[in-house]
Amino acid sequence: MTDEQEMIEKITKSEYKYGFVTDIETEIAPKGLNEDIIRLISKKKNEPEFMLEWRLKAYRKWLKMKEPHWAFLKYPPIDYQDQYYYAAPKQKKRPKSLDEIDPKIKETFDKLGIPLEEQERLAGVAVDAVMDSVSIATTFKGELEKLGIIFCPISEAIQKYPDLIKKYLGSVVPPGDNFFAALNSAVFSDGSFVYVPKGVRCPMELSTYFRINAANTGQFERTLIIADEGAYVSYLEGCTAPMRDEHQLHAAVVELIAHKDAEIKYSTVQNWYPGDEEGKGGIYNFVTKRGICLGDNSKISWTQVETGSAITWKYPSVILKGDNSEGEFYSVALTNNYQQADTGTKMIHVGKNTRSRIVSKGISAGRSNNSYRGLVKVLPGADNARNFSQCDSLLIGDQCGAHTFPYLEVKNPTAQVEHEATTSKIGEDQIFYLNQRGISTEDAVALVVNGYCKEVFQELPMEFAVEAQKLLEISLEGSVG
Amino acid sequence: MKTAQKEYQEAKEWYLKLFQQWRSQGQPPNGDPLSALRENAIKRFAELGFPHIRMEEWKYTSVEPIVRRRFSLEAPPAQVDAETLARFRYFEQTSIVLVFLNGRFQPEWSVIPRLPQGVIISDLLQAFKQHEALIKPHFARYLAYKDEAFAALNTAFAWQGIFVYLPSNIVLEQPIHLLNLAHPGGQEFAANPRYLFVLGANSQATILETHNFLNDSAYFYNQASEIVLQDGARLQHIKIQDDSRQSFRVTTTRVVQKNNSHYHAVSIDLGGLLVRNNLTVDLDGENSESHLYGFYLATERQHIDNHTNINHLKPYCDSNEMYKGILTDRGRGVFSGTIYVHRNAQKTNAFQSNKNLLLSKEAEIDTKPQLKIFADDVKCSHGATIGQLDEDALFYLRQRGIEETEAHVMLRYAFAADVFDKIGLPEIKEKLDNLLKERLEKTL
Amino acid sequence: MLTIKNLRVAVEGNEILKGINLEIKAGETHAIMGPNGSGKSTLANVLAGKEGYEVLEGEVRFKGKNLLEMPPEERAREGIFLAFQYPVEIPGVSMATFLRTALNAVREHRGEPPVDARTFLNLLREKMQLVEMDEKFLNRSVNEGFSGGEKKRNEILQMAVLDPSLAILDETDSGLDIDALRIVANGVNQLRRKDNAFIVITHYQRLLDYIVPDYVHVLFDGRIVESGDKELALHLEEHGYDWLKKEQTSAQTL
Repeated sequence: MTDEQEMIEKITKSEYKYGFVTDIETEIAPKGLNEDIIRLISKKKNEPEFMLEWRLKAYRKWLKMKEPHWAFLKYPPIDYQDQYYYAAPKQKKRPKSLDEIDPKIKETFDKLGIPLEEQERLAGVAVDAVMDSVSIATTFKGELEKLGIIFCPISEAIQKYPDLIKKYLGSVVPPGDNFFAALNSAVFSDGSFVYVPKGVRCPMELSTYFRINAANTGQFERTLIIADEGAYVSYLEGCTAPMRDEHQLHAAVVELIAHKDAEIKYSTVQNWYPGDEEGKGGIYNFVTKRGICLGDNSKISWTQVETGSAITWKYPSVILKGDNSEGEFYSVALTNNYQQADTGTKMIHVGKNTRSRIVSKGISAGRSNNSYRGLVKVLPGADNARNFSQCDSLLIGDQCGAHTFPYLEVKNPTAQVEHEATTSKIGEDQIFYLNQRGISTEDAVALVVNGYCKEVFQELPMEFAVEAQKLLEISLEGSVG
Repeated sequence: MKTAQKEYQEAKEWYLKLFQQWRSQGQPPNGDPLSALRENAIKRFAELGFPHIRMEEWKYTSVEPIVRRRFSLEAPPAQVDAETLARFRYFEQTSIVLVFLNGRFQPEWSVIPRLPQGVIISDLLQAFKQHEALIKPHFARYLAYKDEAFAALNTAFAWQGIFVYLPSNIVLEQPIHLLNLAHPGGQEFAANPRYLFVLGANSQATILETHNFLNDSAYFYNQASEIVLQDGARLQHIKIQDDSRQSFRVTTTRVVQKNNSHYHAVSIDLGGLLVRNNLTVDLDGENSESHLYGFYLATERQHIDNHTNINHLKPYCDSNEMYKGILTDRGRGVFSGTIYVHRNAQKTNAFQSNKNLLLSKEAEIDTKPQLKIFADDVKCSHGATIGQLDEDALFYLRQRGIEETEAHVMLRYAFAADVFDKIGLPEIKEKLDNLLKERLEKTL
Repeated sequence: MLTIKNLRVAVEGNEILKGINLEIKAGETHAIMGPNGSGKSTLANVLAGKEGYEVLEGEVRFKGKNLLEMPPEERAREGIFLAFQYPVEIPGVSMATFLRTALNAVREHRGEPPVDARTFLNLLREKMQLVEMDEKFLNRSVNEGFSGGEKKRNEILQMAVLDPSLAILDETDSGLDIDALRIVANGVNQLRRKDNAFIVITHYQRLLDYIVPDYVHVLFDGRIVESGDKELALHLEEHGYDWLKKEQTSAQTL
């Protein structure tokens, strides 16, 4: 075995460190999906009638839809009737204060590095913790309320702010948008809701931490973020799940709405359980994320670091409707072992002088396949639209694949659209240079990969960036050449 | 109004019926060596039907205009004279000229001088009779007629075409000019020309394909070509397509390259109402090299679609691709280029670029450069741009006293010249330059 | 410190080094000169452990250990430093991160505790003065966008920080103007001690005006054909390599 192979072997053999299971009592609805289950979810959530109707409509649409298979992903058929669609940690009622939370749950989030005690939390981050479809706790709520910012579980928002929900839910990702969005619309149980009023700059990062705990349970969160005129918000999302041999389904929907002069920054560090080194288990992650720059001069920026999941199907997109609006997509996607990722973005230029920027860094190791899939579309009215895309792929080892599928559709003669992509092996001369300075191959690879991803990490809030770097290193362990 | 589905169904039946009629009339004449193949191909066509825009490979190009027409298989008998032909000749007397009228080979107008020993340039079906051992191992072996409807259709109807064979170590000095002229005379006809070029080890040739027309009406060329380059063979393959603005064209080309071979293609598309070129190159031998260049100019209501696939199947191969397009009026351009690198194709270098000038409000470009990489020790990149002429350059030229329109032509010419310069035939450069300039002036 | 015995090395099947013998003791500086293609860089790369070099025969002992068995990073930690002829650019990896990682790896190997950020920074500042480098380099990516001279100075800076026992300077003078050459040579001279050694590989005598060697070896066609003191370098400067070639060919024909 050559050094390189040895290295690759070693690095692909790292363990997922968030794979523990919390032993708590869970309330679970019967397996399978039908209208009764949807009624049950709606009832459990104490939802108003309009919401149940909305869900049922989505469900009926879903029944007529087919699972999409255009992505570069291979997986056995998913039996949608062999899943649980509702699971919740058993608590008598939603805790009023943090002290009332089941200590085991609290411990879980502590272990994940998400302490729920506000005082322990690094200043400047408010957290909404979601476990198995249910929001456990939201920190710093009071402080935010003073500014008129709403940050709460979406289940709560449905009851408390039905007008906002009616106006915005499904306005960016309609229930019938795609198969997984329809499924989510029918059965979503929780997620976060953010509303930042006119002219308010949210003073702290808002963060949701998603945790799957129960077995055989699909997780379907729904996040809705609205930045009113001139508002600003930065939102972070993190996720993990236990190690289980069977695959688990995750189909989330995120909608962002930026009004005039508003800005939304959405960062994700996705670290769902990727399956073991034989490709057993792992999360199937089918996510629809879309934002709309509704007003002039608005801006939406997606940053994602994707290291987890067995299957990733995810295209955070921006519809640039307002004039002078701006969309950004920064992505690092790392796949190892048997992971498969098909991820990218869509930038739809509708308004005048709209700008978008795409930076995608794919890293494939082990026997994984990593695809960038993106669309840049310039509609006839989008005068002076500008797009620049840079999509790079790095291959580590000769058993993996890296693919790039950009689509550029331009119908305006004043548009300038530029796409560049490269695929290369991790630089042997770089590794040797670092080796020659005494740095081990494993560390050398981590350094080079982190350097390669720097442009994206820079877009993440500081502490998230550090976490992302570490995560990359851990995910690369056992995969390097 | 008929549903699209019904249109497609009826079109398919139309060609199935044509096939039955054609066969029952004992066509092609003088015995048919391809009988079994035709039956297979038409069967596949019946199963596949015409492609539609819900298919990934056809999402930007609807073949409905072809589907809606009922082309006849009978090309009208056309007359041509030496004077007319001379207008479309590119080379002096030294070249080999093969004339095709409405898709039919015209031996009486063609010029085939004394060829080096063993070189074959022959009518396709004739070749099956005289050179079966040479043609049989290659014919219909590379073209994916089982998966592609147009290739299947061509294979079913293939009888007009040409077989070019170069034995090992032959360097054919004279270029081979395939001179195609359409002379529809008001009759909407379909032709299915079929080419097979086999270049033996270390042989070398230049092929120029030109496509022109004599009167402006609708016709449909469904052309298919197979090109085999054995070890060390070199082929320069130039195509200048300047068909009628009412015509339709689907071209399917598959190139198979063995060790150390070299394929250099330049594809210029100026004419046609609806044009779709499918070019697939298999780099199936080590150290082989492929250079693909293309230029398309879509004006008025033209739709020009180039689909290229470069398959790196063996290690140490290089590919280099550059396609450029100018879209104006209601012209629409489509480019889809896939670079595939097989797990075994280590040390691959593959570069691709697609650049477009979008010059009018109704024009459109859809481009889809793709990389599918399964080997790690490779260098692959692609780039695509869509934009306008450089304002600074325009201003610079005008500041030096050059008319604005002239400056526009100069810059458009410079943009296209990148591709035209890749045509390694100095003796026809002037003629091509004039053609390009004339066309670009018309785009103003 | 370093003993090379009958070292024969091939690259892609071509024998480049055809039996090198060399002995280097602590405190010594050896210059290796020779025309292009004589095998100078091959020797440097083989000592550093670069892949793609096939050792056909011979042995290399460094501080008594078999050098050829060690992976490159272990050689580095043992104290072999190669100042590259063409230092590679590593985008996104800052100089500071890189050097601290390297220093701590070397320190760990020596059984020393890792340096904290403050100590490291102070050390770095001190060493940067040695090669007249600006502190702003610390935030830049390794070698990225560096000029030729900056890259070479950066190599010497790393040498100063890592404090190797045997430094191999591979054509460190190539592409340097006289000022940069002085800076680089000055940096090297300040690092010369009784317990370390240097191999200076160069095509020209010029560098040896500044870094004065104890021994000069002439490498030609994969063999050391002449050894001497610094006078040999001057002789080469005067007469070029042609006389050598003639001598060699005549020797071979005899």
